[in-house]
Amino acid sequence: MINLFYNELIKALYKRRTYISFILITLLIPAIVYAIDYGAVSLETKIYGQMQDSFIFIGSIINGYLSAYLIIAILITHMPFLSTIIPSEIISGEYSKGTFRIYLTRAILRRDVFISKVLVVFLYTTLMMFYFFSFSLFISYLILGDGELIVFHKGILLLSEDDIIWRFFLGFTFSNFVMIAVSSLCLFFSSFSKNSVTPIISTISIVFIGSAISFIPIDIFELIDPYLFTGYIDIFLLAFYDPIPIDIFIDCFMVCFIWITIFIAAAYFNFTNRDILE
Amino acid sequence: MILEFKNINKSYNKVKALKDISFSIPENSIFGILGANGSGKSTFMKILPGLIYDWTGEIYYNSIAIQKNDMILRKDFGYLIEAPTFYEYLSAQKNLEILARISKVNPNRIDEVLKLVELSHRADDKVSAYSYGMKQRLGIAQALLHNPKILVLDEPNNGLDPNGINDMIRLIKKLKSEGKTICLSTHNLKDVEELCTDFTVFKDGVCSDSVSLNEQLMKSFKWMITVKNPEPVIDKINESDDFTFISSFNNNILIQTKTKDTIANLNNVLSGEDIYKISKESNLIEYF
Repeated sequence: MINLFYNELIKALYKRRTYISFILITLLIPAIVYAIDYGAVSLETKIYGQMQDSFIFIGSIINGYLSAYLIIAILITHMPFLSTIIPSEIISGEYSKGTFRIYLTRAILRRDVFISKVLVVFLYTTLMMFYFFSFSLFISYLILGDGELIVFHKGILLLSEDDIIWRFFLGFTFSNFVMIAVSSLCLFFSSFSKNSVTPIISTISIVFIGSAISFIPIDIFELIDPYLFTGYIDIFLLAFYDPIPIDIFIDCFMVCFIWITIFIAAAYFNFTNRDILE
Repeated sequence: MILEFKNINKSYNKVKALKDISFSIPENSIFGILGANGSGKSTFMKILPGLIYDWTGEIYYNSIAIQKNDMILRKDFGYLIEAPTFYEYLSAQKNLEILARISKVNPNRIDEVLKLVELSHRADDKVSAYSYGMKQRLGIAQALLHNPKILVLDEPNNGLDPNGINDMIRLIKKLKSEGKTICLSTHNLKDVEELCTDFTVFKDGVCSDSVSLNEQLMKSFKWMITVKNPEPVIDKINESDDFTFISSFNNNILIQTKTKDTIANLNNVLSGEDIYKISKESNLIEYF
């Protein structure tokens, strides 16, 4: 199993597409942080809004934590695109290129090959999300420094410096879990598809529909939304509520866990029983 | 017999691709599976390594019944199924390292097989830079990596230029001389004539019994005569009651004897003519 996992790592690491998401994050985040720094006054004015009539603000609320919070809150809804890069072709790519005709004729179990691929998908998603969170924090802190974090939840919430990092970590943990559900969905499509584009389009379409269900305030949608993993894509924001809505985090964990299990089980059944004709 | 197949059946939806395929492969033979495109050769070749799961029938290896997808069919067998396919963004060395790792093969074996297929000097080049012939040779290298007893090659000469075909024929014969049993599929009669010791013919999902090429050759009444001056020889053949002239090309004349014994009279009929060579021609095309 270790050898199979190592092989999957080698295959992923030697592909250029593996690095697309990391390069994108590396280029995009410093640009946004510089933009926040450059437009700090204008941003502050927008944040304060009508509050300036009631409160006197001394100093600046723009700091590294707020910058990282804003960047993650805005970009997290786009991370499903990046999380499909590896799972979309980890199985379908081998079908389409015919490499399974060589790989699966060795004395190995398809079950073990599948598990090694799942582990690489989970690892890739986790590393990408960790890089996204940590790099956002690091660059924001480097350019804008630290300070208290101001967020809006039932009014203004000021979080002290030592009350921030663990919230980012909590946000990362659950956002990553949601993103693993997205990756698992993509892996599921990959096990059926003969090309790597179809799994990406299928996954993003489902995320899009799920997000629409979350945002459109119709009774029937509000009824089913808690059971969809797509309803938790922005769960990161809830890590900055006070008190933390633990019940929603538990729901998120349960819902994502069930969907991940369904996607992986279906992909496994298909992969281990499929005739390799390509 | 090292390998026996009994009543192998495979259907795609309602189409029967293989119908009661039964034949056996002698040990240390080069066994040809001859058939036109769509005859079921490739489907059959994919059953042994477990690429196709859903089939019925029995396989015996060294007279022992093998369970479906038994690991021994992959441990003792090396496969090159259809066109050679590799991770093109990796070098030949890296590709073989990946396969060696899962086959639990000593990494030194990679150098051995690359040397055997004469690719040592290009081991570090990406496979995407390889010609089709080189990929085919690398395909043989990967099949030999775990030193299997039986090699299963699906159309190994397909897509190769004449030099590549000669290299492949030389390599396959060398492997036979090392004691390996080789099972290859082909749609080319010439491949069977030049390479195989035994063969079966696939047509529309059914197959013939195993046939020894030598036995089949014995049944042929066709001879090729290479002469200095063809015209007087053709006249003499036409005048003879024992022989029938079929065709001629340059200095080669194809004839057929009435019975298998009448070839002894050929020297008498052609006395006085400069004859370079007389060789028996196979009747594989008629059998096919």
